Amino acid sequence: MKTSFNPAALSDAPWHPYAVWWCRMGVRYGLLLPLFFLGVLPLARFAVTFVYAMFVGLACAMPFMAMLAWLTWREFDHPAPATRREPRAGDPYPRRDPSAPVSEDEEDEYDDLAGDDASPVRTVAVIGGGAAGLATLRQMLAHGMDAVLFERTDNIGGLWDYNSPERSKVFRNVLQNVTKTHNRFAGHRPPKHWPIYLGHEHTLEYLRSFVDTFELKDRIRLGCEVLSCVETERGGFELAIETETVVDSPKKSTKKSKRPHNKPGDGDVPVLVTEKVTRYERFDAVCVCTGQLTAPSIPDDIVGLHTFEGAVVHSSEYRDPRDLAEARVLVVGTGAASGSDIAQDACSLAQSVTVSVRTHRWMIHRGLTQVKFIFITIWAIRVTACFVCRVLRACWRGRAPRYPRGSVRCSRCTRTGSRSSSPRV
Amino acid sequence: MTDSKDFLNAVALGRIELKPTIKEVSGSSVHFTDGSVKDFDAVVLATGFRRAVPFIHPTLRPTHRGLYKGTLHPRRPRVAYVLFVMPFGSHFQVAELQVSLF
Repeated sequence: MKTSFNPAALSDAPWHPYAVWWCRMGVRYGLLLPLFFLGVLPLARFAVTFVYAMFVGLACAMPFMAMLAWLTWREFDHPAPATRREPRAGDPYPRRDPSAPVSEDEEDEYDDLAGDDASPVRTVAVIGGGAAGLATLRQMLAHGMDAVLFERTDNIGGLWDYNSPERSKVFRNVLQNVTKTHNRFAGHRPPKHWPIYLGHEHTLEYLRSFVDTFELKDRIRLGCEVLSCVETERGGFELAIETETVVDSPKKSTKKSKRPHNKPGDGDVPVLVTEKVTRYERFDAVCVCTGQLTAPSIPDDIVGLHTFEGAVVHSSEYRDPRDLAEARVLVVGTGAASGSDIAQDACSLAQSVTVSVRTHRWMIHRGLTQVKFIFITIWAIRVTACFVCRVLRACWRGRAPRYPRGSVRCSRCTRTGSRSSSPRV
Repeated sequence: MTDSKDFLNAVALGRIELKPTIKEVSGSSVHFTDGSVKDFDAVVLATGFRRAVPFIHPTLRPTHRGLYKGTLHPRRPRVAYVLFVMPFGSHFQVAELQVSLF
């Protein structure tokens, strides 16, 4: 995966998957066109029709085939950015470990740079180990920065981790809103045998394989919670990071320990006592990747909601349709997609599901786009085929006769198809 | 605009009922603004989220004027907020594009 650094590749827009798909459909239906012509046109002109049909079909499919071949040849996947950039001679600073203590020389360097807006960014703190954090971490490392990712919990994945309820915001039958061909990182495609719309377990596996592929593991610090982030007068940022470390000596840490995993004095069982340590680290830049789905927004304008006798849950706390089995469920709002998804998920087992909406929204089927594009492709090929067919017919029969305005036409002559250039009137 | 797999089918089959805004909740019955009353056992609030970054110093939080291209803090361009937007479509690719702004 280690390639030379290519800044153009980082911002390069991917090939739109529809372009690829369009080409495939073009080839498929273009090659099917001969059958269409054979079936529709009369059998008396079988030989002529066959030649025509082959020609038209190939002519229609040719541009698509050429484009598909070109796309395939140039590997139309997203360009994968470099995993790490090696330090070069022109770099303003040598790479260093951001957690290492700052020496006095570097301290002076920092002082010289105080207030300078053009001072380069070399250390970056990425807060949050979800999808956004992983994408950020890879791009920062590819640009040659010392990026460190801080994740509060003990594993990456963010809200997609269904098995850790304290941070999961997905439910059991959740599907992504976008197909796997769209919702993916550059240079890392999901396997072909996965479903088109990925569930939470596939998404989590995708994110973890992303970490493995691009070797981000050593830059991720799990179990580090960022308590505060303030700006220093040097133009950098100071982060207070709380880490839970295991203290081996129980006697020493009994006073300090806040979270003893085992009760002290269990006899032979070694006592594992953890201690929360807060450290302060400085970074030149901060990327906040904690996402916007942190605090549930509970509307306070619903009169008497707190007096409701049943269960009131937020959509992020909904996990399983079996929790709502045989219940009369009211879903308030549709959200971006969660309300409608939860309603359709719960209605399989619930007694009744009602959706209360304030603002009416457009609803589209997830598979609608694909169906639409099939029809558009067929239509486009038909139009192209008609045009090409007309041109070919004109070539074979000669140009269609043009009659002067107001002239009397003999229907017998035109019906038989005269090849002479001058019409007989 | 939102998309769902079986929502439209379920509405067409009558398994999901659509109602307007809630007027009042009393006990287990819910009054809607069109005058209808219905009893419920559970309420799922799909009312969205609020953006919250409590650990960030208030001067570095997203301002009321928004962020530059939804990503960079307008006064401190070294603070980037990734995926603090709601794109229609792929989130992963939007995250990568946002980072490339940095």
